[in-house]
Amino acid sequence: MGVSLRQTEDQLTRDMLAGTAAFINAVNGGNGDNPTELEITDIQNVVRALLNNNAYTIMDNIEGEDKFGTGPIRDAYFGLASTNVVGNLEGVVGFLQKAAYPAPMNALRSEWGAINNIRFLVSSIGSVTPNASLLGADVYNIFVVGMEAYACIEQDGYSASFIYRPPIYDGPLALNASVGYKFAEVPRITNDLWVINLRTTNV
Amino acid sequence: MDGTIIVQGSFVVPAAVVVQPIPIACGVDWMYVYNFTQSGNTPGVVAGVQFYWQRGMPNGTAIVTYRTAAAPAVSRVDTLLTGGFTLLDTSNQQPGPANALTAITAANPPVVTSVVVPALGSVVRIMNIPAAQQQQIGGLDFTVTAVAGGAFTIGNINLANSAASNAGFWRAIPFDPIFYPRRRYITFVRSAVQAVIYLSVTHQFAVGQRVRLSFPGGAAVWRNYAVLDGIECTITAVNVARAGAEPTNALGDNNIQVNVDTSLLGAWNVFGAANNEAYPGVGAVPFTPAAVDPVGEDSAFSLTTPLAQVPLNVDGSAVLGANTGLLSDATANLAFIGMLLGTGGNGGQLAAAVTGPAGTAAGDLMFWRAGKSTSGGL
Repeated sequence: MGVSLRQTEDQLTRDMLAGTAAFINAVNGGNGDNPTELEITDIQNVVRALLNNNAYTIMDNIEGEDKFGTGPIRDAYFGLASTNVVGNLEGVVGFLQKAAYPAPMNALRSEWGAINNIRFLVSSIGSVTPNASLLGADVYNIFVVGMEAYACIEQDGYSASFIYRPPIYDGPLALNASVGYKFAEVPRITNDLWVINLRTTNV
Repeated sequence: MDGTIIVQGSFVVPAAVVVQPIPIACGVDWMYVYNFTQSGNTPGVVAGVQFYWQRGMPNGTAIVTYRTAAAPAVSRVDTLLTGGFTLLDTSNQQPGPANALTAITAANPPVVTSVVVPALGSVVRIMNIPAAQQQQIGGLDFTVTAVAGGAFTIGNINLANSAASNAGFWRAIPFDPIFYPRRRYITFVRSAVQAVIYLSVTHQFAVGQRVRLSFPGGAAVWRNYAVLDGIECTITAVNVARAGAEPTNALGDNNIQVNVDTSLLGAWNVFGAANNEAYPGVGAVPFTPAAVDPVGEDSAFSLTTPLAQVPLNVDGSAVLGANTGLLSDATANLAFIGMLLGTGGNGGQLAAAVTGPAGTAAGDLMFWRAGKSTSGGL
């Protein structure tokens, strides 16, 4: 139930970003669709747009170390993506798996890797717009966000409550327990210049 | 009984009897609707006056008590086969099935030929257009602005001089994204001291709101209008009268006027290989569609404008759940669960039309009662 509560918050935030945030289609891939699969130029376009908009990166760089197969990680924006795009990400020139970070312990649990100045966090409830490409394929929305680009605003005194009622409160025969949660909050883009939805299809 | 929830409410039937959405936050196991006005009338038509539905009954049906048309009116009971109660969850973002289209005209407005046609005012997504045809609108959503036998119109874009399509598919988009205000695709910009921007889906913006214009791809895609990329502006009017080559929408012009001067940018309809189309030609694909992104409110303008600041639906009704006035831009989750009250259909025994729980005539006063049961099943 606790997982459901937090995932519901994530889903609401996801849907707000999908419906209102500015977007850029990936257009440099070769799958013949619109948007296309990701290419490094698409990543660079988004990073450049955020830099031009004075968006702060969220994560500091990870300094390079003398370890085989690793590479330094730049300071980075977060890219919030569906788990279905992991193959798409791995096909981009310059992709670095989190296992190849100099200090993988600094990566987040949901992190998949990094390209340029974006570190990608993937989730099974990442944003997908069904049948929204030229060829009718699912379009994956990758929200590339800078620091404080959006916020979740809770109503006073109404942050998430987890409520359990033992059977004794259910009725004379104490037949049923109940458990549930409630919350009242709204996700909101605080500065629209600091979040860009990079839309892509898979190969 | 603990766990039972009963809710109630009422509404007045508007000028036209239309399907009535009733948000019921707790969900619904059963529902009654009563037509207070027609219960005491000799209605002149076969008028449903009491309706009942509960889980287990098919969607769209109801048990109906109706009054006969002729005096003296008598009450009878029947089963409403269609136009009754339909459970509703507007957070459903799954498109409808793919329907084949056999043509999209290169015209203003474009007409789509299809055996199956969508409802007037609904939203469709176009896809799988063949190569060298109108691929530039593939994946875009459009409001349906006219419906005729075997064809419908997407009147929020001008596709004159494009290469007409002879195949493809469309899908119905059941509901808007759940959060208001929504981003919309730009289909046309008027060259004027105050630009008028046409949008592919009924925009629901209100005067005073701030928006940012997005034209990714530069001049190669958007010609002179690429300079508008990133500009933040205020909406000074909505749905102003069309002119010239602007999209022709039979439901009413769907545009916003903003305080950005585009008078020196030249005509918009200069796209395509022959420089005479009103939207980037198929040669621009793949590209990022231009869009209007909502960012907030110009409070100084909002406090001084005499214009109404009420977000409107395609039928002119207020957007359910959106804020109005100075706070019309506020981010709001408009998704709801509840019931759609239908306009009626044939009775199972009567085999003729009976009016539905959405009402019989304009001004009918309707009362409803709905609930969640403690226990039990279908």
